[in-house]
Amino acid sequence: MTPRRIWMVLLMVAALSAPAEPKAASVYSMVLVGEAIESGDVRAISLGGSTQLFVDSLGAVQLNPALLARIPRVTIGATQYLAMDQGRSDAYRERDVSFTFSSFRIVFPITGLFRFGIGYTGRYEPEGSFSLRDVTDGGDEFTQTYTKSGGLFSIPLTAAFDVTRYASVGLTFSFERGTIEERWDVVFDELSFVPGAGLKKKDLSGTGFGGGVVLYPASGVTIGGMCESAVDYDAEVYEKYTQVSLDTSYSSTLSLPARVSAGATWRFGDTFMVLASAAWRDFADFEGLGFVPGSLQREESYSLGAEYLRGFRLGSQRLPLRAGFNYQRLPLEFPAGEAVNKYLVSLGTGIPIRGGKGKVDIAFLVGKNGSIATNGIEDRLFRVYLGISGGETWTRKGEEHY
Amino acid sequence: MRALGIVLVCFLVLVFGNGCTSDPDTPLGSEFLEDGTIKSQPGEVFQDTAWVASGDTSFTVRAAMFTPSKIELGRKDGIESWPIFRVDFSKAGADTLREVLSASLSLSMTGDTDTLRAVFIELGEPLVESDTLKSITLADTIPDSTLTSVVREMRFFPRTYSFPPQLVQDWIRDDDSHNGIAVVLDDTTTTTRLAFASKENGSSALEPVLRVIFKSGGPSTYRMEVDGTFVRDLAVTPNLLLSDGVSRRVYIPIDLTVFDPRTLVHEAKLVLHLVPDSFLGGDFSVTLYAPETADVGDPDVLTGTAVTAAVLDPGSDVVRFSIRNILSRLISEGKKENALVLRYSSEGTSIRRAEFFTSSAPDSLRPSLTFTYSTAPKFPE
Repeated sequence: MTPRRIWMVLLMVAALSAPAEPKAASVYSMVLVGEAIESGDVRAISLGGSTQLFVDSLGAVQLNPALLARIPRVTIGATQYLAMDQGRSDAYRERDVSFTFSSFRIVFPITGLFRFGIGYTGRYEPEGSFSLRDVTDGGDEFTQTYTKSGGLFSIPLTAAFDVTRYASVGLTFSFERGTIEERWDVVFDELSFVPGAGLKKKDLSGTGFGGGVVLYPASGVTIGGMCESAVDYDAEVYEKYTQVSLDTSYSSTLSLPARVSAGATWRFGDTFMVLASAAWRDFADFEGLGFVPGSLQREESYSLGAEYLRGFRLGSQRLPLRAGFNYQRLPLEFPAGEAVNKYLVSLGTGIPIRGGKGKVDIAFLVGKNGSIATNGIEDRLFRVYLGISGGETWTRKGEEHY
Repeated sequence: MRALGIVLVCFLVLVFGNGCTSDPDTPLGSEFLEDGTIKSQPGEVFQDTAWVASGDTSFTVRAAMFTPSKIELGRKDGIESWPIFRVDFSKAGADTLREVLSASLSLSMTGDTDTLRAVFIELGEPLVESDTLKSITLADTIPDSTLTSVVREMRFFPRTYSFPPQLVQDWIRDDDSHNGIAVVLDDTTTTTRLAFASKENGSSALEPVLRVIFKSGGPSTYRMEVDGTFVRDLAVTPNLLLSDGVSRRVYIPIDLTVFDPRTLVHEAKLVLHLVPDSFLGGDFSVTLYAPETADVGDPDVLTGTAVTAAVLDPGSDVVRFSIRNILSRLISEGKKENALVLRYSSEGTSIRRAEFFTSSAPDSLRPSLTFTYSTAPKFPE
């Protein structure tokens, strides 16, 4: 095995050895299908969000599939993040620390024009728990604990190609999978009391389609958009209770609305790049998980970012300096018609490895989700994103003769 | 580079400057429940009491004790005791061809030196050691060997009581069926109870035997096939009576229709209130069981599934038995009614009693079930 292959294998091992169990920390992630995972290139995330558009020869995990068309070599990339969020209300504060492995993709150049990619993309993370203390009429104290867990993810198969030198197109077919589990436990302080539990688990499976276009109308200008179809999940639902006579299972459906995103980037020579993008997923007609049509809003995300390409010097290398701002509106209105707004400020850089054939990107995000004043509950978010990627040219060896 | 460092420090101050706590069991997030944003709902927890309305009773299992090391004669605490025996003539062999000269029953008194008057009476039906012996049938009185006296003085010494030779010979030869003997108290005023060694006393020198001397050849000694104490209760109580000697069990019917099979019973207790000063004897280890039938008149009520064991405290006025598991099982089996029965754990071993208030007592005293249960949580579609 050549040193280059070893480098690739190490990348894969590093990516796959990350904690694979999604676990979000945001308090709001226990609602609906959970918190939307920012799954994409860490460079894009440090520039304001995964919907940002730019050509990166090592950007295997970029969101818009059309961007894969300009990846020249076999490239692998992975993203994970550490969340240290603090949920707050007037009365309580609690901090959770969690790891999330959010995306992974390997891209193969098939011909000079076509690229094929396969990977893993996290979509949503329902996660959270709280406990309620109570006492019976007879004075026996007990605790009822609600726990929500699971995760939605996608296995996307992507084909991308350049239509002209001014445009690239990407198409995605994805296997969509996931689980959403809710559980209630009741435990009494007095140990002689038998505890009880009930849980409902939805195993989801479906398929999705997506497509993206990226235009390069002028030097340094990139404009693009993408659409992900609605995902119609088939759900196998299991309900289990301590009273086993109540156990049941049945089939159901759940439809995740389509998402549309668009973005534009202006690059000023080798010095500076500014980016803007937006994404929308309309939950207005969403039905399921107890929600009825009209009870949710459109999920929106708007990103602004800038990258100082010349950056700063670290040792013998110059590292780019990236900054971004992201505003999101959650589909939920809480507690009674008040919008839940999410603000994130990001800062990051990237470290080239092996002469530019690999890189490590890092991004720091700090922000707020909801507000105590408006929503009565908020998250103070702090997240560290780490992305690794590498690429090399694979050639087929010729037949050997003796 | 310095600028980057400053920015990073600012980030860390922003993040960690607000304090850091870590307690996952806080109500943070419960706002979603109150608001209805989390569509599922926890189960509701209830605590309730179901009074036993009627049907509680005591029933007699047997009126004899066969296994203790002593057999008793006398009257005390409203309880009358009669020794009962059946001699084992199955090994008579060649004695059936011999002529009885004299015969006497040997009974060794243990400890006491008092005396009591009693009459030996043949039993009208064979005495067998039974878990359900509730009565005995008395037949002919057995006089002494002179045939002049039927009233015997039971005493420490001498410890033999003569029997008519002809009667014993008939028993040996089975010319007259030997069903057994009862030593019936012939004193209506005594408050004494005397103890004699039984065949289980551990010493063959003390065990009751029938010694027979024949006109030719050596004597023979016949051991007892069965010995024990027949017990009669002279007192009547309106309460639920848990007694031994006369072994009575307490039967508590349970109306299971008060339980919704969809609920989860976290804890349930049977509560019985003890009648003050009703304790007699010792060893109040009791067992609660769920009988195989809810019909107290059915013999199957004597057996069932053990629920729990406890020791009654004469100093307490209430006893609680945890019945959660059996209750859950009965509910899950879809039963509408059942019962719980309380008995002494080592039944038939000593004279003892305890009384409980019945369902006709005030609510604060009558038997009841206290239970804590919850409905299942509700999840959205």
